[in-house]
Amino acid sequence: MVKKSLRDSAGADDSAGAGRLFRVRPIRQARRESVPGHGLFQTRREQQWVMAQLRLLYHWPLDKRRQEQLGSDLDFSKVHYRNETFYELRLDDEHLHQKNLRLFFWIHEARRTIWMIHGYWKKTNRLDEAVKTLVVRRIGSLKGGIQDGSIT
Amino acid sequence: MSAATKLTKLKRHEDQRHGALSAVVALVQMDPHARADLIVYLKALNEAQAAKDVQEQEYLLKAILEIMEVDGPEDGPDLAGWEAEAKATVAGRRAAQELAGETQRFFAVYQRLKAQSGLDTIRKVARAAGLSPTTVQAIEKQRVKPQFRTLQALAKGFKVDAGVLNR
Repeated sequence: MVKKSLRDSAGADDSAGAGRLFRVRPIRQARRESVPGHGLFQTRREQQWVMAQLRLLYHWPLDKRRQEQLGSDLDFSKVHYRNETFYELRLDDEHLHQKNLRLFFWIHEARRTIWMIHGYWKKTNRLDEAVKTLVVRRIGSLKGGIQDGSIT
Repeated sequence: MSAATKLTKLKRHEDQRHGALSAVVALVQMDPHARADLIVYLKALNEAQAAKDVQEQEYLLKAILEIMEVDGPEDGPDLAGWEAEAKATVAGRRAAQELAGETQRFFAVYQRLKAQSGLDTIRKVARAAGLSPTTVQAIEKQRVKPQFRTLQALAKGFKVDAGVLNR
């Protein structure tokens, strides 16, 4: 039910929102995890470098063709899992203490908001299901919050 | 055994019972989807324990704790507010200044190379570098020094070594 109504509202608002830049927002848990020394990042510099990279997402193009173009540069991939669609961004740079930082996003097109859901360091493929389960769970909870108005 | 020790043992035993009972109640009252997620994590935890992978076990325990949490989502800042939060401490400000200096150096070289190479528009830079115009536009508008892979592509477009842009 929640999913359907959100999708409907996305379609309705989409034409009005076209051309506006996206907002990028972390969910509560992602914000908590990103505090240096509390899981995701080791240093403040690393955290701020990633935040700077996220500013590039303001310009995320909506239509599919251009999305793929941006995807090739920023190394995005679309993930479908349990009837949910989200995006995975891979970052790899000397500013990071490990290789292959993966960040997961859910896009709320109606409000032109890119929600950062989760981040983790990719080590093996074995955790994939657990990670996707966590991301989908958080998206569900976020949608619930948007629906009941506790997240504006 | 002293009376105090006996009481302490009894209290510990009661606490354990209470803890176990609370966990069972939480499981019974849990949303079925959350319970299904919990099963996924418990299976993965078994595998991680068998493989003696401490890092994965930690990750899974955090995920399990999150499922058991009762507090719902709350409103948070957008990226600008989040960045401001990160810069609120002395160490955060220092890190931001370092990064800003690095970004400034990158853009000084970028603008010089752009002028020298005659690639005066975003579209021309993008074509020469093999990047999308959106990416180049985003880099210029947001003044973000891109990750090394993109930086290499830009260097290729300007026909210089990547190290020139990465000082």
